[in-house]
Amino acid sequence: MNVIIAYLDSMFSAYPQTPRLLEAKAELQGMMEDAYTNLIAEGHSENEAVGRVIRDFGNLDELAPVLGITSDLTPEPAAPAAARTAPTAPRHPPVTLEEARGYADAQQRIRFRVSTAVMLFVLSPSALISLPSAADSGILPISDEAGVFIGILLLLALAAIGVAMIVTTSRETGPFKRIEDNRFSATPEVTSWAESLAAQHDRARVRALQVAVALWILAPIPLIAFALLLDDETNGEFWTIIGVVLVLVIVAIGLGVLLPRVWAQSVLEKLSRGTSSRGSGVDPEEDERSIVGVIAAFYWPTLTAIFLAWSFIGNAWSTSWIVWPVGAVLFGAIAAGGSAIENYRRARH
Amino acid sequence: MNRRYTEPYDKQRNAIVISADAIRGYVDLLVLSLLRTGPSYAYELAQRITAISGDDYAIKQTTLYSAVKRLETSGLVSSFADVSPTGKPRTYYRISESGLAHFDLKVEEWHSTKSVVDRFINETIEGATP
Repeated sequence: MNVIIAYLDSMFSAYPQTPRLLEAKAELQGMMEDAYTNLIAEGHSENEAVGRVIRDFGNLDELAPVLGITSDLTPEPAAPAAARTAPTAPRHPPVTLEEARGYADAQQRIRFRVSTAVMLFVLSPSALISLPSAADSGILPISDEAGVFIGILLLLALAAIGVAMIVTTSRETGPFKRIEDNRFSATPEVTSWAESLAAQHDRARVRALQVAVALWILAPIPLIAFALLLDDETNGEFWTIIGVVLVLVIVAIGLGVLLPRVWAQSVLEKLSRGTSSRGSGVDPEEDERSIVGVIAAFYWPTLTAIFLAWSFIGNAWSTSWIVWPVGAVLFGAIAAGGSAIENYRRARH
Repeated sequence: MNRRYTEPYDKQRNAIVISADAIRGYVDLLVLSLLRTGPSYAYELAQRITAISGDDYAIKQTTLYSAVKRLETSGLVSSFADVSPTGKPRTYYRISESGLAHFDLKVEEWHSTKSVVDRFINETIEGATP
């Protein structure tokens, strides 16, 4: 019920608190409360009841004539600011609630596919890391080179499966390309709907985040334990490599727990941004994204080239994997630096 | 689970859902006809409209609220405070004398609207078949 009250509050927050408006709000809240209580009594879950009540709410624009606030309701609250900074800037058409629902629905449908693909990407090098070492120490009856070959084969296969899964999601997200590309302006109605959607799923998201962070912090424990305790054993080096693979496995599990539960939050972030609040044709967010995007476009292929060159030329398959964690941390630093510069630039405007 | 947010515009649903535009002029008529049987409050009205319409028309809360307020402003219904069956304070609406007269007028208007539209539909069909 709190979500419903918060939804109503944010819907009305943009408008002056006249007695007539407050009366309308109180009566609408009464209706929503009755509908909610009734749905719960019929045995619907809380999430379901909240979703249905918000769906049946309708549109505040409809109330404008009877409340005599036509002039207050029609202009979007962000519009005056936008008009001041860039009066002729082309504005994208506002996102509709239907589009927003469809977009959220698509994100919800593809969430397991996306997270599985990410898990596959993370796990893809594990065979390449472990097989040469296993062959080396005689655990597997194959040659070192065969181990490398099978490892590369598995890496490419897992990466291909992951890419294929990502590609299939475009069928779901295709109709909402306008939203994905930020070619829309946010509206208070859609933003508050997205806020209530995110609030509904926030508990699951926070719990998933806790589990994932705990897993990520604990991930190196097997590696450290194997390295310290089994170092003197005959296959000590092999066990260390297994520890590395376990790090990847635990990190992947963490991602698998977290990623499917953040969709509502990312829908909110996407829908509340839009382009209307920027007030200018050039979206700084997009600009900054493209800087990092350009870096990423040559960064990862370069890193792959370094990895392959080092591994083949130096025959260093058992150590060259270090390129990836180092490269990932470095890229994180580059992305963070990029957005920090952008924030600074934005603050000065 | 997935259907929850898509329902209102689910095109796969095999029923014609009456659009808000199509029924707009007659929401007042629906509300007045319900109030003829006695005073009622907003949620109960919405529930009765949904119950009578079945799956064909789901009224939005803002649509209903703007209808009762419009009727109240034109003096066709009057409001008073009362307590709902669940014990909550709610605004009740009662139809006035002029409301009853307006209802009869609207019913007549509906019949002639319907007959005019029907005439066009039948005319076209008859014209199409030799």
